[in-house]
Amino acid sequence: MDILKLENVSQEFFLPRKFSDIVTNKPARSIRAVQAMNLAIHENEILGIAGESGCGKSTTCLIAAGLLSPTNGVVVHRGQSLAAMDDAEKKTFRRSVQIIFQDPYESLNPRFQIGDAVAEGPRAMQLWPEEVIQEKVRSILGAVGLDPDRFMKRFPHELSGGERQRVGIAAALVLEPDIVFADEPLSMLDVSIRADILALIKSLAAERKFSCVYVSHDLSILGNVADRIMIMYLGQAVEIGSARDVLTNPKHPYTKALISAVPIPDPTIERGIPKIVGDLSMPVNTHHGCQFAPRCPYAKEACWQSFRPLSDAHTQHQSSCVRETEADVIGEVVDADRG
Amino acid sequence: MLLDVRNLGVKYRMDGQQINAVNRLSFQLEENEIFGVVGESGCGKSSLIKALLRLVARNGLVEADSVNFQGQELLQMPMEEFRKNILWQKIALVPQSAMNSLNPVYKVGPQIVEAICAHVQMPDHQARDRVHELFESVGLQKDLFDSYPHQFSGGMRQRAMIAMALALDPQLIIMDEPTTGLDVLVQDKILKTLRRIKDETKCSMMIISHDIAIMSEIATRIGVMYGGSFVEIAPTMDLFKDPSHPYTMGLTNAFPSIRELGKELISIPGSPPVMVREENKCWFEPRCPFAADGCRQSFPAATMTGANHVVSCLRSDEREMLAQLAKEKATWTS
Repeated sequence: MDILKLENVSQEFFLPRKFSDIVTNKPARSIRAVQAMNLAIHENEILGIAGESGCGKSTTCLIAAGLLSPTNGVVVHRGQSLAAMDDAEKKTFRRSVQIIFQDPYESLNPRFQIGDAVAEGPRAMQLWPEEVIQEKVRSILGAVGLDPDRFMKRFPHELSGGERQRVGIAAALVLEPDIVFADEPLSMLDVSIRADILALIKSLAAERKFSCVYVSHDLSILGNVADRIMIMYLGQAVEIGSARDVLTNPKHPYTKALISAVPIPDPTIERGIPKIVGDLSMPVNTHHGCQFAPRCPYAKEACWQSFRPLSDAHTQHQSSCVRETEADVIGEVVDADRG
Repeated sequence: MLLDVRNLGVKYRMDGQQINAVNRLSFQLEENEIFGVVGESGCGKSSLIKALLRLVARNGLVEADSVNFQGQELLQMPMEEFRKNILWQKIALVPQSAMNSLNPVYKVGPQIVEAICAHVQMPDHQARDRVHELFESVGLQKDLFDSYPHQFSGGMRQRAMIAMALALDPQLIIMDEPTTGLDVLVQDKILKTLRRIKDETKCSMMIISHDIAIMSEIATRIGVMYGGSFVEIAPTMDLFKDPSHPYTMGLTNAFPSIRELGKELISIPGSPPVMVREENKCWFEPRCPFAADGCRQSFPAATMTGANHVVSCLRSDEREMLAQLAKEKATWTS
C-alpha cells in the first residue's frame, strides 16, 4: 500500500492587492505553487523531487508533511485523509512523518546537548518512559555513526558540519517514522563528506524500512540516491519514473533540457545543448495550459490550452507532455542532443 | 606570464591564536586561460583572493617571496598606486553571492557608471555608452539600465556583476563561486557567457569553486587547494585522467555524475584541518590512506610529474599505483 498520497492537490498563494487593484475592483493575483498534483509515495522507496528554485518542490513537501493545508485536493496517509483526522490520529501522523532539515548549523539548538536534542521529539510526545528514551537515543546515535558515549553530552558547536547533519538525521529517525522528508540535506556540507551522509540515508532507509522524499536541484545526486524521480516545473509535475528511466530516457522537453545542463565531472564528455527558450517566469496569472509551453521549442496550440496532469494509478515512467509520443518531436530532440 | 605568486602566506590573529589560512602557496597564471581553484570550505580560497587584491582585514598578515603581476610587485606597491592602477583596471573581482553585492537602492546601470568613473576620467555619457556595451556583451537587455537590483533575477544580477568587472577591460578577472545558488539552466548560460568573454576579450580568469564538475567544463587548468596551499595543479584533462595527489583522487571519488548512475560514492574520512599551528608536515596526512612516516616529518615539496603538472606529495612517484588503490572503497574506510 502507498504510505502517502496526494490527490489532485493544488496550492495557491495570494499576493497582496495593489491599491489600484482595489479601486478598480480587480481580484487578488495569486501564485500557483502547486497545480493538480497526483503523487503516491510507495512503501520503502526513495523518491527524488527535482526542479529549479520556485518550482514548488518545497511547497509539495510542506503539504505532504501536513505543515500546509492545500487550497484544493486531499492528502491521504495510509488510507486516511489528513483533513478528517482527529487530534489523536494527528499525533500519530506527526510522529510517522519526520523532516531532515537543510542547514545543520541553524537547525540545532546551540544550548541543547546532543543527547537532549535527539530526545526532544519523544519527550515532547511522551512516547516512552525516560529510560527507554535514553536507550533509543543511544541506539540511534550509534546507527548514524556517532559514538553515544562521546557525543551525548556534547554541544552542537563542538561538532563538524557532517556530524551535525548526522544528529539531524538521528533526531528525525528516533521517532521511528515511516516517511522522512529531506529538503536539500547536503547543500551546506563539504563535498568530501557529502557521499557519507548520502550513503547513510540510503542504508538507514533500507534497514529501517522507511520511505524518503529527497528534494534537490542536483540531478547527479538524485541519480545516485533516488529510486524514482519526479521533475517539477512552475508548480506542475511534468515527469515521473524510475531514476534510470528519467535520467537516461527523458520524455518531457523540460527534463531533457535540465539533464543536458548538468555539468559532468569528466572533461572528455561533451554534454548536449539545453533546448530551451527564455528565462524562468513567475507563475502569476498565467494561462491554464502547460507552464513550460512559453519556453518549449516544441509547443503547439494545445499546450497552451490545457495541462495533462500525471496519474498516480500506475508506476510506469510517464510525462505530462502531450507530444511525448510523437516520433517527429522525439527524433528532433535526439538530433538536438547529438548536435 | 600574467601573474607569478611565490610562497604566499596569510596569517590571521584571533583571540591570541594564530590561524594560517594560506601557507607556502605558489602558482603561475598565463595569459588568456581560465584557472580553476577547487577546495573545501576553510581551505584558504577566499584568503588567497583577498591577499591578491590586498583586501585582507587588519588582523591579517600577508607575506610572500613574490607576487608579480606583469612585472610589477603587487605587495610592495604603495596602496594608493595599487588602488589607482591595478585594482579594477588590471585585476577585477566578481564577489561571491552577486545577489547581495549590488546596492539595493541604486539603479544597476548607474552603479556600474560609478565604478567606471571612480577609476578613470571619462565623461558621464561615454561611461553610459560603455555600460550599454557591457550589458550587451554579458547578455542583458539595454533597457534594464534603469532597473533596480530587486527587479533582476539571480542570474541577471550575476551578469550585472560580471559586466561591472569587465568595465575597464581588466587582464585578470577573479570570480568567487560565480554560479553557486543559481539553477542549472541559468548556470549553463553563465558558463557559456564566461567562455565567450574569455575568447573575445583575451583576458584571464581565476574561478573559485567547490564544484569539480563545473571546473571540468570551464577551466583550462585546475589547482586543487587543501590546507592553505595547492596540493596539485594540472591542465584539466590531465587532472582527471591522471590525478596524482590522494586528495584529488578522493574528490573525484566523492563526486556523483549524471552519466554514472550506479557509481558508488566514496567520501574522504575525517574533516578539513583547523590550521592554528604552523606545522612542518603534510596537512592532508591525518585523512590520507597512503600516509607514510615521512609525511609527518616535512612539508611535501612541489614536484613536476608531467608537463605543467605539479604535485605536493611525498609519494608522487607511486601515483599510478595509489590511483588504482584509491578507486577501492576499502582503501578509504579501513
